[in-house]
Amino acid sequence: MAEIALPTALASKPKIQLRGHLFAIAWRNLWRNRRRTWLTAGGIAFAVWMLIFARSMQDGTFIIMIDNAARMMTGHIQVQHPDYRDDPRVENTLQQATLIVEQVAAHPAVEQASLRAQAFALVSFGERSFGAQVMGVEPEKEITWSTLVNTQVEGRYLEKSGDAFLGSVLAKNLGLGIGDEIVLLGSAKQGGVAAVVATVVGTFTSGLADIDRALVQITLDDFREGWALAADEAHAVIAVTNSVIGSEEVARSFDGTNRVSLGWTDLMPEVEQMVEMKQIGTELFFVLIAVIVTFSVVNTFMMTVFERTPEFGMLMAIGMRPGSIMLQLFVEAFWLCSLGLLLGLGASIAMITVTAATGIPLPAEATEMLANYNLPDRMYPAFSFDAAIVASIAMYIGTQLAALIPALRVNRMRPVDALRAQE
Amino acid sequence: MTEVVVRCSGVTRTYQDEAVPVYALRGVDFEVRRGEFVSLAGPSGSGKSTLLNVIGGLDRPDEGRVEVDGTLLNDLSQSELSDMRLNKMGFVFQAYNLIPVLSALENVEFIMQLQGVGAAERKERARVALASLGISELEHRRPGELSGGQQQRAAIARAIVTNPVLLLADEPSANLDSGATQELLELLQRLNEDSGVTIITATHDPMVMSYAKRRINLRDGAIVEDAINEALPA
Repeated sequence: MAEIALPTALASKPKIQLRGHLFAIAWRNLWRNRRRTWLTAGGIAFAVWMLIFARSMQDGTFIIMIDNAARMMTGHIQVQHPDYRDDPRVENTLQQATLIVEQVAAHPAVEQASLRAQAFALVSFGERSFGAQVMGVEPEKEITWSTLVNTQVEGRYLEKSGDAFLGSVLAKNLGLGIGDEIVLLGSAKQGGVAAVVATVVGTFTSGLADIDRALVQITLDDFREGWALAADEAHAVIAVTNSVIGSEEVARSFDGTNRVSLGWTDLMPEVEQMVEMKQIGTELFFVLIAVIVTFSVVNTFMMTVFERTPEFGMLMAIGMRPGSIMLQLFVEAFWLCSLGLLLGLGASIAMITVTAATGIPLPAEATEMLANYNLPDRMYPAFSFDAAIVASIAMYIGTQLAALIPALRVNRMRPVDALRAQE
Repeated sequence: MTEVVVRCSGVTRTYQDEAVPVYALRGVDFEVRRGEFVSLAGPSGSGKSTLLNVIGGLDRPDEGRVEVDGTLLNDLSQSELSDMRLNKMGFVFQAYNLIPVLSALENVEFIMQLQGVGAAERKERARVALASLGISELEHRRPGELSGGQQQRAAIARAIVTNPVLLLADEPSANLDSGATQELLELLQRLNEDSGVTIITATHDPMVMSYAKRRINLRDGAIVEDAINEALPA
């Protein structure tokens, strides 16, 4: 054998311990126990998939729900007089409403825009009278987007001057039927009496008690005449957008002098509140899942440290600092989490892409009921980027925390004790 | 006079075994000079591994002083001890010597990565070390693909690649058959003779003792004999 020649003194000046190579070693370490790595990564992937899919289903449902609620009554956007929201007096009208509705309708995200005027009035039939909201609408436009028009209607929708369309509970309370004549009495714009006589041409049952018992629609022209509004006056420009997503930004673009533009969160605060409440429930679910995953990863890393204690002793003996070994464990946790995230995100994207196109069919009993309220017979998830980001961050934090406990144990290890662990 | 590499003065180490103190080392005094090949011998529990660990800074004495290459280890922090081991010592153990996920070449390179040596120099030095130990053709094999003897050679290559002041070997032949043990010992002997590396090995294997130039016998934590190996040529 040749003479043993030791390498000469180091040419490079020693710098800090380890750098990029740590990632390569940590990645290879992950595959020392393939089954355990796949099981743990699979657990992370399942949790990520579940979080994203559940949230995407919820978001998809919320979008349908918000859209339906908006199309039932408020629209996605309303442009109003600045004071009308807090003080809905007849006097607080939009001037040059036709010009505004044209501007709103010209926006590419707006599907339809129309004018409305509204006030409270006493609705009378025979001896009976009830208070209700009277809404003057443009029937030819409302019919293109309003779900109220098609919600268990008896009779027909508004077509011409003199027609009235009202809630079925109100009709029942008044004891009237199709073809009966009602009188609407309220306070007109100039302080006079607003009086309109109209013939009931149809009733609706929305399932929403407030609407079914206290809403009457008449034509906008009849309203203007009865409530003494000018030909170019209205209380609101109602806009329906192509999608709920982004409609708030569209709404803000219509703000201007002597008018304010409200999005669906302003128009339906109760719906926004409900969405927020449900999202809190989902976030608690997120936390629970993250905790479960963290514990499973803690177990993996405890086993890792237990099995590799003599090796850690050897590493410390040859001069690797405990801090560097800790760092290596954190990098292993990072890789493990990245692997799980990759699998989980991949599965989520694939599944949501397919189901968003085809929909998830609901049971027959449910679809019949939903159809009555213009709700679809399938659920359509909408990929939640928020959930993907939150799930990723939560998993990274969870796995790093999971690695912290065994890593601290390594940090406290004395090399001699670690080496003795092999004995 | 040859330079002293290791100096132990009054080194005592006591362990608590439940409530009973166990004296692993009792006031050990000795010196090792540059270029020596010393075997710490003795039966199990005699304190040879403890003494090796104390010299290597893996364990701290309860009393006494330990100096390596002029540095008093007692005063060093854990990080400073890590750096001392990294830059001045090489270790060979009986098992778990190599990182299983790295090839022989990468294992030898690894210690230089800890030192922050540049990639090209790292690779070159690692190849020289492996070639010196006759296993350059195995450089891409992982430890699981090497025999016990080959693994020990790779471990020695890693231990010497940084040109350490001191090579410490704890029961290096424990997991080897007699043929592989002989090869390993011849290797250590040649390393000592050709390159002047100071070697201290803890062993109870008579064959290992026979290759060392100096034998220190320990019993119950104390040195009972410190003798030159007369069987070896001067």
